[in-house]
Amino acid sequence: MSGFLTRGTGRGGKTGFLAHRAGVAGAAVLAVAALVAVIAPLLIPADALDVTRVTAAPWQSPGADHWLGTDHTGRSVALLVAQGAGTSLFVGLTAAVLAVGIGTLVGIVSGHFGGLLAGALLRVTDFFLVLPALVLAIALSTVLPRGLGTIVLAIGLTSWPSTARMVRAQTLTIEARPFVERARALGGGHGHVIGRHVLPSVVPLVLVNATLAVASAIVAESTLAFLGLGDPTRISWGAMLHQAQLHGAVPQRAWWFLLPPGVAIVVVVLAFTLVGRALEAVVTPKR
Amino acid sequence: MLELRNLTVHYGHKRVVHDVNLTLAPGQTLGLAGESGSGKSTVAMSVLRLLPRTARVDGEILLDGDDVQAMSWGRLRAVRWAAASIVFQGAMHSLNPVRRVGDQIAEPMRLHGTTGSVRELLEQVELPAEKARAYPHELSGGQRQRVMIAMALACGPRLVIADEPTTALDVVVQAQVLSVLTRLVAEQDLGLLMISHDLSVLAETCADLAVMYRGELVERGGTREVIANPRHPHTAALAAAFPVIGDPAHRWVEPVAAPEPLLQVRGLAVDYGRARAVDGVDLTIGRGEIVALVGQSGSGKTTLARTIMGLRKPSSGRVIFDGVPVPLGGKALKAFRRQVQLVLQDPASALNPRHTVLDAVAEGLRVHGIPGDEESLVSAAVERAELRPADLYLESLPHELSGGQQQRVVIAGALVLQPRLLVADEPVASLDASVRGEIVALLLRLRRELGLASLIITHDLGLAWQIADRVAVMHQGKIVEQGSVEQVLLNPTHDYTRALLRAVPQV
Repeated sequence: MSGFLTRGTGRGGKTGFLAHRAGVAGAAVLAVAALVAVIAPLLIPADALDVTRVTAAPWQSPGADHWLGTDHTGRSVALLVAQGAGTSLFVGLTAAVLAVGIGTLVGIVSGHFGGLLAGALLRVTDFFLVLPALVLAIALSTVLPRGLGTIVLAIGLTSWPSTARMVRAQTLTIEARPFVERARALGGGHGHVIGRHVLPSVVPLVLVNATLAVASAIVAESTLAFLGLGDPTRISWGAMLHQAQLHGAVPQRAWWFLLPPGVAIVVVVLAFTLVGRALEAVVTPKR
Repeated sequence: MLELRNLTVHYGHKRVVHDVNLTLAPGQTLGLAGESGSGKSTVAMSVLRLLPRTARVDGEILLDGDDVQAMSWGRLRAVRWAAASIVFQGAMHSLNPVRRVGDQIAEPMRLHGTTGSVRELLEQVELPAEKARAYPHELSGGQRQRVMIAMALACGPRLVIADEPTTALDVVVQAQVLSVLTRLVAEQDLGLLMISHDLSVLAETCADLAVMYRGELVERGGTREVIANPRHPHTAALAAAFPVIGDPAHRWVEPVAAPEPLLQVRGLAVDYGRARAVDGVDLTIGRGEIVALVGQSGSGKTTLARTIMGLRKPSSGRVIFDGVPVPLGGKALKAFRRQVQLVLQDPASALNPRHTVLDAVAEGLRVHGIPGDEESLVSAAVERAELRPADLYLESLPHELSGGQQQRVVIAGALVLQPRLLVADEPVASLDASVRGEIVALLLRLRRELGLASLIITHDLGLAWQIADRVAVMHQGKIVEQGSVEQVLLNPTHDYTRALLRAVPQV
């Protein structure tokens, strides 16, 4: 991975990550978002976000005191957006790790072992693939106790099948290569073949997939929170939109309560997607 | 008809073809020989301006007096295929898998607005007319290559360029395809420019021979003279690399006294579904003995080797190694695999592209948990495989090595476990002529120094003559003839062995 950032000039020009401007821009946006997510809870005084203690008037339009105005309780929208970054990123990342983890496991196991086990795993994958993911996630978060864990679980359990399919395909192509046969002839068992040959060639693909999965997990979290199925004790961008809708931001013409969380979602999701696409181009050079 | 004047081709700063001058008259057949990277294919592709944009071409390429470099796009399109056409190397990759071959043969005729009959073209290449409705995967390798020839003749060109037309085919099919090609060239008075690394193939088809080495044309003349009296050392090396069966000078192996058996195969049968790939095979390999298993592709020889290694379970019969039946699983099978090692045909794909030489060679040590200093064991094995000094190579990745060096790494990976039997599946088939001899010599030296027995699987009877003590001929899953090399190759008793020997091209 030494030449990952600035790989030399190949037939198609530079192939390192730094050569993909959109990817670099995405990475920069993500760095800012992560920074905000980490320092916002440390810098924002608890009073400013507590409905019972805020002093500002509700539905103030953006101005010098409140850059992005205030919500229906008088809390600053700018501070809410900053606070919400943490929740959205946390849910997005953990749900993506869960989904990609399950997908990789199922994909490698079904690709490597084949036979009845693979058949069974693939049918389960197909089952989850055809199930409308949002409906399942809604059902799960209704049944399970409310909380961040439930949201992560609901998103993770519904978005692993595509990873599993992709990892299985990659596993099959690697297993067909002569060097795997050589490893077997050397006496290597399942663990050796998977650990030394299959996994290292699947990991780059999985990483790309994970980046893209984070983007869709953030959207899924926002959707669930917007529908009122999120963790009510936490501020997230989706939950803000839910509040805005619930308390009549539209009749109040309070665009400043709707737009900032929406834009934040779009920007972060776009950034993840750009990074994912750039990684994809680096990991799978076109021949 | 074709004239190359001072042709020089650069890719970036790398010069791949340097100052090549060639002429080809109508009806003349010219073979262009050389190793991979010698620039022979670049020369061929430049004739129809098929090189990638990154290539810089200097000099003149005159096709019927017109400079190909200066032609307008429309003129070039008209010339391509109608004046000169190409038979490409890999028929499987050059045919569209989702279109019927008849449509693909008709495609150039439609583009050029010429009339002609696909049926007649198929008859010319000795394929039944119904095959026009077949898809490429429904045809055998030889049939596909004949479809490529039919396609090249579709617009009645006067020059045909054939780029390694028979490389992937086995001897019998190769002989068929070559005879079709030579007959058509003679009947239609075509000019033929044939490219190959195999001098014996060119000797069968071409009256004249040109040899390329490192981008330069080093020799040109009548085929017989060039091969009989090579003036350039590279030509001599190419000619020497293809052993002549029956010539004692090409028999490199020293005879050994009848050794006691190391591996015995008894009544082995292997089924793939309903098809029986290996059918009741008996075979013995003695200690330190080199046995060649020859046969066409599809004869079951590779399946037999896989089964001997315990990579496939036999349907019936047994394999006995050193007096003990080979176990079918568990720890005992793993221990057996230390004793028997596999060397595969294409070293480029037998090595994981992400693993360094050290990792690749040490893989066996790690799998078996062999104690000792890993790096010194690996270095010793790498030097045994004649990559010296080993330190220079240990950190290299496979793509940084040449084909011959890669094959040595594969062999080192086998040697590091101190095996007693090497199973080599076409160990030199994908290597260049000059490297081929070195690998053969290496296998023989290992036998001399380590007493290493080998089972060499090949369709190349010349290799068997060069290296083996005994030969077993396999046909449709059965061993039809086996015995000492001299006995089987010089006085064959089975019709199939005779057919194989007849198909070997003669220099």
